[in-house]
Amino acid sequence: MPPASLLSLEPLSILLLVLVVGIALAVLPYAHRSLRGDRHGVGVTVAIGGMLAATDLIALAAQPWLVALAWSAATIATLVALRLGGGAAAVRRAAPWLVVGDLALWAAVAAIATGGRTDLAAVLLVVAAGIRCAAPPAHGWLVDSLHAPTPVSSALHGGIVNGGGILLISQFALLQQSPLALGLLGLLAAVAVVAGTIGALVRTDVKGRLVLSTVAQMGFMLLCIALGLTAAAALHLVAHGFYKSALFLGSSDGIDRRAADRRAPAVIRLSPAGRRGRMLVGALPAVLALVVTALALYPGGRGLPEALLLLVMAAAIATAGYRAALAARTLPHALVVGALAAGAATAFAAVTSALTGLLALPSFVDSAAGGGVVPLVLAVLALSALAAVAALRGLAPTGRLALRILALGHCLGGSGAGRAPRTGAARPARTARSLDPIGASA
Amino acid sequence: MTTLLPTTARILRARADAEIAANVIAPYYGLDAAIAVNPVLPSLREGMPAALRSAAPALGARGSAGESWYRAQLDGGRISTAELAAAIRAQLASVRGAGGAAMVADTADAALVERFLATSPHEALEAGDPTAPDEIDEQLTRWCRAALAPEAAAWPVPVDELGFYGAWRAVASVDPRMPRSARRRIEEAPAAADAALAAALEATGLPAGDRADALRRELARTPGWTAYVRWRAQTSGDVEVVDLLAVRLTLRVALEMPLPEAPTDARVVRDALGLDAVERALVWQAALEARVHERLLSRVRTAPADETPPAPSAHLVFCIDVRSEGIRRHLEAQGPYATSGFAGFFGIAAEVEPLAASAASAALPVLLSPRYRVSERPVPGAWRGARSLVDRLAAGRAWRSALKAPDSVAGAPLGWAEMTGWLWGPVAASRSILAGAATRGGRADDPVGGPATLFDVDSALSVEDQLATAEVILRTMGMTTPDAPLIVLVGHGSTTTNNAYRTALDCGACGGHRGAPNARIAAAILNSEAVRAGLAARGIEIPAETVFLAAEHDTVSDAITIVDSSALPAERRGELEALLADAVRAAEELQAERAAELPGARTGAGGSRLERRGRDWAQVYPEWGLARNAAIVIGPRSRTAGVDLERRAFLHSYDAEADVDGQALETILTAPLVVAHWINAQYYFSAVDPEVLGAGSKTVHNLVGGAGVLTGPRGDLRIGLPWQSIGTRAGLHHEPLRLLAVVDAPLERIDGIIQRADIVADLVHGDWVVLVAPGTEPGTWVRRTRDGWAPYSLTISTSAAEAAVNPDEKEAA
Repeated sequence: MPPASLLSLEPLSILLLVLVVGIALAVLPYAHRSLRGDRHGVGVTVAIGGMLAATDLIALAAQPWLVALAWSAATIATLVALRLGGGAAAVRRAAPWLVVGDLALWAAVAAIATGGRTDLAAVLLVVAAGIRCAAPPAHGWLVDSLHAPTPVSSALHGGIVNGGGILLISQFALLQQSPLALGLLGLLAAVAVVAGTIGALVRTDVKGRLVLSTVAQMGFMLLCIALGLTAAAALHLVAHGFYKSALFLGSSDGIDRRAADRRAPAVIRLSPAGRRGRMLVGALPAVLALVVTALALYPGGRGLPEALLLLVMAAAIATAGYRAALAARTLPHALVVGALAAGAATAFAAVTSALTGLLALPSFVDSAAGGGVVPLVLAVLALSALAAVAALRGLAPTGRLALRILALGHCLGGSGAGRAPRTGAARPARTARSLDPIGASA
Repeated sequence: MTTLLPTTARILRARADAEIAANVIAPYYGLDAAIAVNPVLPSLREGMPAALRSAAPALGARGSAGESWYRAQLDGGRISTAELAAAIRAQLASVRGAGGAAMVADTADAALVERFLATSPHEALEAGDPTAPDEIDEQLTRWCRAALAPEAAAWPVPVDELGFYGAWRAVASVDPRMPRSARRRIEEAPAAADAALAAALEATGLPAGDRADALRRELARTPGWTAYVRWRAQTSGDVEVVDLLAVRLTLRVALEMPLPEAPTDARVVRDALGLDAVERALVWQAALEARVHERLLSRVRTAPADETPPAPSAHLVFCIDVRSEGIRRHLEAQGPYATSGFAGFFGIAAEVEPLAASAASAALPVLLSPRYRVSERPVPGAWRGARSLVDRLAAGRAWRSALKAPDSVAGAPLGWAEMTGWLWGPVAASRSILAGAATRGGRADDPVGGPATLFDVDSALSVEDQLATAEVILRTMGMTTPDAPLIVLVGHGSTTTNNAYRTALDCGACGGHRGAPNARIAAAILNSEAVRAGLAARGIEIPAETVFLAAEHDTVSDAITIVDSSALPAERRGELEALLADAVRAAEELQAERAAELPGARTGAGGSRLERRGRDWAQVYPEWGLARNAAIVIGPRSRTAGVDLERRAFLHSYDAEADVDGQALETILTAPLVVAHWINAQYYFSAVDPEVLGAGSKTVHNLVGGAGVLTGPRGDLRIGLPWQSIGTRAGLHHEPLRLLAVVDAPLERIDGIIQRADIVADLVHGDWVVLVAPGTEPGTWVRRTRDGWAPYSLTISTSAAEAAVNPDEKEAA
């Protein structure tokens, strides 16, 4: 086969190349320096390189079998990095889940190659992608990966987990022929969005919060695919990859930020009316700017899926805007904040619209029929559930239902009782000490 | 029987048992202001051997390095046969009295060591049977994670409303993952923590006499969270050990998991010489310490140097911190500078409130409590600068608040990641590639370019109090006749980024904060005319031209920055410029010395640029902190001036002749010595058991608010120091050694203080520190043990000590 058909250099693969190279530039030098004290530091750094290289190949591969090959290479590199950096505890759940994902993908490739059986191939693809994206019930492997060092997490959340999204976007032509697969995808994604969001809200440990937030983000990205918003999914995947990998690398700065907050002047107490005013000043201009720019420039359709997407973006910019406005020292400062947020929203909407046009990704062939009503209903349900959770927190934070959700949120990620190595009085064994030369077989 | 007791009595009883059980571990101070502490502090009085025998194993930890590690030191030549033989003889003499010593008196060193090594090396002081964490530990640590740092969650568990135990009861009784019967039992448990504990204890059917021990074992299963709860109980008081135990025991009863049986006492195994595991460890430990003690003591003079140094052009007062030794040595080599050592809070037991800050910080040793609050204010006329500072700080907070938007509203992060991700990518890549180059210095909470400020001492302290403070400072420092026109009080701090353990590198005497504010306050008091007039009346004459300045030593870059020179007349700026120029040269020399030890640091000419490491977000070794600390020298600088103590010694200035009533020495032995021991013990235990008493590798740390870190996604809170504070890939950088305390004072005076002050007696009699004083003959030393003073024999020749120890591996990595 000529090499030209092995790899493809479409706008999407170029965008993904930018992502992976950017992540590599951030993670590899970081890993080299920060793992200087860890025994397997060099091995882990090399494995991270392998993870990112394999992700790159997934993005560039034009043939299903090459995608699967790169995918399995990524799995192997990930498991090596987890095992070297985090010991047995890091791979105990990751290995079975990831291997199942690989098997599903290879089976899908085989189904595609033999032709026919579209439903089967599409469902297998969705299974592979759901596991890779840590959608519940597979989220446990990503939680356990925290046993491995920070740069491994950074590469995982910036690179590996995106594999699921890349796969489904590139195979969207197949996927959209199967309402069953789209429905399953919508279900996995909706559960991931809700569960991940609740988990991230209640966790107090910084890395646990980041992991569960990734579960929610990947769920949102998969939901976009289920709704046919493939370009939005691709853009989300890339931006989130940068976002999450950077947050992991900086995850030790919590003490700095707490000190900075103590150093900052006390927040001025506002009257309820003043509060409302501030929130309006911070949020409204940004939301208006976002909506107007998007309506004017967005190259996609103007249907319900797009409206939901716009709603999510508006919620984000509104929250950021009102929080900054509340923290601003005076009303003029708050007005400046509102103007800045509006500017940022305009820029974001314009750039996103432009990139969406450039990507020129396929959506549903017949956008009126779409992928059926199921994903749409699930998406609406998921977003309503998020709104309900937010309302519940405000209205009855210690009510029975709220406490039940709290309890569930804290249980996400599983227990690992009797399995994970522990550092308490009765930890399993000193064989677990990966660094300590004392007592190691000297 | 106890069931017949009235309820109140039963509850009080449960509380008392919990209090006794809590003594299984020392409080852990968290990371907002990290404080070094001996993890087995409650067992201080029983002494180090007893701690190795019971306190450390009770935590599932070991109190000394493993036999195999010690043997490796012997094989590697770090411990010599002669040193080991001497330690064996000393141990036999102390265990078996004169008979024990006589038993092996005729045996040659080599033969003795052979007999010592012949015994099969069982791992000394290993914890009992390691048992896997059970369901109870899992649920308890998960609850601790949620409830002890609620401020870190966007949606916290309701501890503020219901308390630690009450909130757990509320959440657990609706937890769908609990068995229905367990949920019912939890719902029926008493609403108050102490009553619940009493009820659960009764349900276990344990005899009253065994309860405290059983609770102790329960707490020891999660030493980290227990230690943190102890600290919270002492400070904010919003959670107590009773709460922790109430959750634990109620859970046991609800899940029908009975308390584990008490472990049976292990049979004591003795080696060919009749030594048990603890005694063997003490032998090895003494042998390991011998060479370092020899090396340091051979350098410290027992009498003043012969020639008197020229009058200094400036006198710099540094913190006793071991890192000050290096900068003092290099600075003194640059010119006519005198230096002395003093606790880095300079006697200012204050709560410090930075300009416009929303919170004050207690900048003083944790042994003391703050007596006043001093606020930073802009100098008259600087209001414009002050306002711009406030605006900048508020803008920073607004920015952080916006960035944290995902935390506040369910669903907001979905879009937020997409909006901000495009900015994070380039930022992260440039931070990783530039590695601290081309970025601005300073920490997020140290705003640069603020207005000129002063600390408002007069509002905080009356002139009488200022006078009393000034007198204590000068007398304890032994500076009753200031000898230089310029006296610089140098605090210290560490500038690092993305470092959860950053406050562990700051000044412990300032409560885990930077030292500059305390230095500024002390200088302001000592410059005050009213104070100086009062001091003169009390016999301390400060010449009018003497000026006190405040400065700060950054321990990452070794740069000394003058933070307050307002008292210096403009025409005398030249003196300061000359001093600062010399300080820059001293810093360069010290950087080169330190770079040889730091993993991945560039060595060689042209400056090592260590300050870049502090700004690198990937740097896990910004500096070595107090690693390799081994001794404290309490005496005049003339005893140690000009010699290289390798940044291993705390130096506290003390002039025995000026301190006739022994008041200053008592202060030093009861405070700075204790603090030095805490630090020494923290490093020691973190090094001998990095898994339980140390915090493990920084790279897998997972911060929980300001409480501390977990390793990975769950489990116990980690106490102690991270691996990157004590070792490298090649092995330990910090040698676990007990503190050598060199006290240059009359023996009777030391004895008197040991008699009066229990804390000093505990340290000396308990073998936690090796306290020596100059002997009658020049060059000899005497050691104080619980049996009194005895010559401290140094087994090897000085030249051998000079030559032999340099385990400093330059890490290639």
